[in-house]
Amino acid sequence: MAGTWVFVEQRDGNIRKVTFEMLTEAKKYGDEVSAVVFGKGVKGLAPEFAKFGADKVYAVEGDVFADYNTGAYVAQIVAMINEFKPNAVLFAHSFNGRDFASRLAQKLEAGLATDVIAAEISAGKGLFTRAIYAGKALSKVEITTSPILATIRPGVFGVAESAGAGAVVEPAVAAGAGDVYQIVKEFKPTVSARPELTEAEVVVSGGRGCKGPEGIKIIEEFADLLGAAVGGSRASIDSGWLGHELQVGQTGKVVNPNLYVACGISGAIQHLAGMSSSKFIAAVNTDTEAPIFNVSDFGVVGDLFKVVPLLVAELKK
Amino acid sequence: MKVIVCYKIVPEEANIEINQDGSLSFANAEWKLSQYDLNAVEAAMQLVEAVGGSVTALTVGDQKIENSKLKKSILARGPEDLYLVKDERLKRADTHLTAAVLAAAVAYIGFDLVLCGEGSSDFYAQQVGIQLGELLQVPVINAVSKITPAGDRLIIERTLEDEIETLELSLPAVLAVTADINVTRLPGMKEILAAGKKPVTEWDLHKIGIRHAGPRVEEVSTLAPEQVARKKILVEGDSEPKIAEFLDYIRKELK
Repeated sequence: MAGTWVFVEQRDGNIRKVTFEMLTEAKKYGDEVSAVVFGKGVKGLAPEFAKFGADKVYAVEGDVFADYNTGAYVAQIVAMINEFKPNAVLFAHSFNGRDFASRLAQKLEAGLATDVIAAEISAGKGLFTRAIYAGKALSKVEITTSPILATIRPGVFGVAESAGAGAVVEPAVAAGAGDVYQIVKEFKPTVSARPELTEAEVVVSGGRGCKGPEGIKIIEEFADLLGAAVGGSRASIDSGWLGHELQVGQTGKVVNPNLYVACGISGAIQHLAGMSSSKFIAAVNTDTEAPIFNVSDFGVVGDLFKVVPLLVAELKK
Repeated sequence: MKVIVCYKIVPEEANIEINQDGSLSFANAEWKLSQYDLNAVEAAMQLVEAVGGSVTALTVGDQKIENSKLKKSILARGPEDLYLVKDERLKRADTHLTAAVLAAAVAYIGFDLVLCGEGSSDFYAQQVGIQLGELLQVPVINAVSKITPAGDRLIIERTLEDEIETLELSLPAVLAVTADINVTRLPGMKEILAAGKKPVTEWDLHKIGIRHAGPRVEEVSTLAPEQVARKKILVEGDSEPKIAEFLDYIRKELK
């Protein structure tokens, strides 16, 4: 039982930033760090992981691994865990990451900590912190089953380069990896030229106060001048002003940008759960009593239809 | 189609209070149906309204699942009957134990499809649905934002980080649905009154053949987070100096 594995979150060779965050974090435990990558033509990505300290890169190639599918992925990683016996395996807390890790944990009858925001891993023991009750409390949990399993919240851990050997290991494709019970019909990118919410340095969000698509347009223009991602509260998503993939909150995406600007968002607890760990929070709201101001560094009591265009005009100068 | 919907009883998180020592007080937090499980109930009702069949509700936990208001509340939303697996050993059940109990129960009840919310609004571990599917050895998928029946199969949409995945699953299956799959209906007085007459079956762990009820994840501590020191500067209006001050902060954080 040795070494920390980081399961690489990638699609068509585009590696998500959380992968590097996990590698950087894994380096801290002093144990050997390996990146584990499944896909098609992924071997060549090894130097990317070496840059962030990966001593080894387990690359599994095959058509069946091209897109995430639980059956194949779980069969494959179970075989690898049995052969190489890692002490811990970390996954991104993405939709697929949590699907994969939960299924694996059940298969191995092992404990799993999801959406982890702080971790300490030693031989045979993992101590993890996660937010519960919509962020009202932090729960510390201990896992001593083997291997130690966790999904890591994107954007919480820092990224630091450190040279690793990045030696490529190509494990055999496991028997059973071809048993696919779900057929992927199609991937439709939710196209946006803006940064992805969980990876963005700056996020501008709009809520009920946007009153409709016109209000959203105002905050989008503002966001684009800042190079920001656009998000929304439940109210603006349910009203159809923004796509579902843009919801910030407990049931949507949890964001950790340097700057979060909440426009016309009152700050329900479910929304706060998705953004309250942002470094600097600014808010524009007409209601002085809005809960969003309790978590804000800078708040403007005012109408976003007046305040935001003024900001836009200034930024354009 | 025989659909089982799983739900959890949770405290109203907005009313959980923080004690001086950082521990939590639930004195004013009423028990409620976990919000996102209501989306699963609604999804089940819509499915059965479209293709026919029945919806059964299922929950597992300690004595608080007996709460008669909550039993009525779930049944008023459409399910025709309710199963409870009540056992004091389930008071602090972790995801594995919860999944194991649900798996045993749904196997007894019989199903074509099990629907769960993506996560419970208290711990939001988002594991139970997936683990349930694995235990049952049937197709299971999370992040389901649309379900379309297609003969004996289902077409599923998943809203992922930056794409929408469409896939096809065979039944039986387990799905964990997102909170934005639908807008839930509020039951009317007629539904609430009818709910009181629907059949409720109560089992304990012994009845469904569960002997061991230990956790795989140990809770070490639960405390309120240290408050991040926010500047909490609040200005009123949109005068030029205030906008300039706002911009100063924005520019500082952009660097």
